[in-house]
Amino acid sequence: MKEQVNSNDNLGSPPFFRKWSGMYGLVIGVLAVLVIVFHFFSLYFS
Amino acid sequence: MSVLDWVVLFGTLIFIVAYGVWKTRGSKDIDDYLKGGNDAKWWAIGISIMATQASAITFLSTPGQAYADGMGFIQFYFGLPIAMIILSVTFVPLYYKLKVFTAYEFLETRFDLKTRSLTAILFLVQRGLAAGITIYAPSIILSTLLGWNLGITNLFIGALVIIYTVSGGTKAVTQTQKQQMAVMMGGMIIAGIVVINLLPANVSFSDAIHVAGKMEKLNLVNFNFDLHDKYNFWSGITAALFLFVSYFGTDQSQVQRYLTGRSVSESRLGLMMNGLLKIPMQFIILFIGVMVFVFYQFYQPPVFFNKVAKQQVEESTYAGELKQLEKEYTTLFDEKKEAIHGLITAVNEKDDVKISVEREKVLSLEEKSKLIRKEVKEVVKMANPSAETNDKDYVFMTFVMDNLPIGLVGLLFAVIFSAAMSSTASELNALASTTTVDLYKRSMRKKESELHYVSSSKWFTFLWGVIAILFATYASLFENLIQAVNLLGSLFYGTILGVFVVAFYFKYIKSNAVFIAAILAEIAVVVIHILNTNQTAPSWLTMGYLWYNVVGCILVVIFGYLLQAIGGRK
Repeated sequence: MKEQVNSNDNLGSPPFFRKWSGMYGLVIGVLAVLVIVFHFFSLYFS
Repeated sequence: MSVLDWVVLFGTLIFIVAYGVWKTRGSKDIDDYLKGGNDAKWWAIGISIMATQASAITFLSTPGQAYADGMGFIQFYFGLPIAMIILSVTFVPLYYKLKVFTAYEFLETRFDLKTRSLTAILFLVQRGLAAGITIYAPSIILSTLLGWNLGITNLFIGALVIIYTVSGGTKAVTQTQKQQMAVMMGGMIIAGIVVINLLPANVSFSDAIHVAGKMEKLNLVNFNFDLHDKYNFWSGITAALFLFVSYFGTDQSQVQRYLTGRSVSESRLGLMMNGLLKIPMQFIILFIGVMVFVFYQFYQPPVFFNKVAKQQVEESTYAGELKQLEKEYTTLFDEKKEAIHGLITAVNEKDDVKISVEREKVLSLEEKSKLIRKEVKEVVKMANPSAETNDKDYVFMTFVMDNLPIGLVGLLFAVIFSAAMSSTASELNALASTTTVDLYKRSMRKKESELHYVSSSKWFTFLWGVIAILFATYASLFENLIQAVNLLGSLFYGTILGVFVVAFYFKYIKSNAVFIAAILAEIAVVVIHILNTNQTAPSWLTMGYLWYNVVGCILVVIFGYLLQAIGGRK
């Protein structure tokens, strides 16, 4: 079903974004980095 | 406010409305009117999603919340990026494949008409009430600050939104949200820069962050698991995750935003943009609140931020008590200010023992200040028993009005009005779509022309706008209404999400089972809420309201499975 939908999905996005697993990894990665940065930011200034 | 502020405020709002109307005039068919002709780009979808979620209360309450309780609220948003991924993988491709106008349309394909109608009606009730509150909540604060009549403020916000939402439909909502988002974020960032610049010359930015941290305002992440604690890391990535999947995946006011995309990719990218930017955006707003807190450590804040309520006390027999409390507050403020300078010196000298001593001193004085504020609130309540004593929502705009330069005050009011308008517009647009597509076109007038449905969508938008204004106008007559409506989301979202989860992942469960399961789950959630409200819930059922989303969803699946197993085929 997912393939069928993607086959209709032919309008412009950069190639990088077509690799959705990379995109999802980026989002999760950014979340993880933010949580870690927030944690140490709090610790450093507390 | 000065003349320049009024020009900036009205100029900004009128420009946005006029541009929205002009740019999106002349919708020919329902696809154009309700789905914006499916030509939105990913960044426009992302902005629209963010602007819909960011209501005026976001900009009024969030800095006030940071001022009072620190930045822990940010953990609420930790589940959002994960929710965006779940939606991109599951909901979005399916909605596109079925070419639906509303989320509930999909449920008829999977189950039957009654399940579709049930969820559509649950949405209309919940969102219809919420639209009134989206107008009322900022109106009550803005009318106090600007000295306007509450009814006129409601009408002002509602009428502006109705003009462009009726005229241009979804396209107008998306179009105006671009400008509104620019005003909102631009205004907030400028306010943030100004507050940092307004700190005393001998207090650097780094000193300000140290003061905030030592006074426990930078409590960004709490890894302790506690069901009773509303905001911690675990509730953020679990309970709030359920809320966000439900809100962005099944609430038409959000679904309609990404259904305007040119393709699945554009919609997915819009959701990813929201997933990446939402937490930094909330961080900025909360951080501004913390900087306002630091600012008020060096310049005395009012003892109570709602000036109108305070003035009522000053004109009452309790004026003497208030004056005495204000005097004590000023003395404490001076002592605390001195202690904070001592703390900054200790931090710069990197003397841990001295830091610890000064910090304890500052925190103890802060506690005493809080106690005085508590007493002031009791006096406010005695002078006027119906007065709202929670003044957090007034903190940020009081700071703006008292300290920002001419012109910027008008811009910051434009931020709040824009936020109120952007979320209300999405709500009216979604309410009209659901009424037209799921009820009117599906069950009442099935074979009318495209123009007829465009015209009826416009009328429904207008009608829901009027209902929202009326509800906002009479909202103050009902006690605890705002709290009730805020809770409404969590009470219903879990069940609605449960129906969608069954639709996606439990093919074994059929229409009758899910329909009855949804009703049973909803009853169970309401009972749990009542037990929690009355504090009669057994310890294993005691929970913060965010967890209702998880419970509702899981119960629909369990009940559905059991009923299907007992009841047989349909």
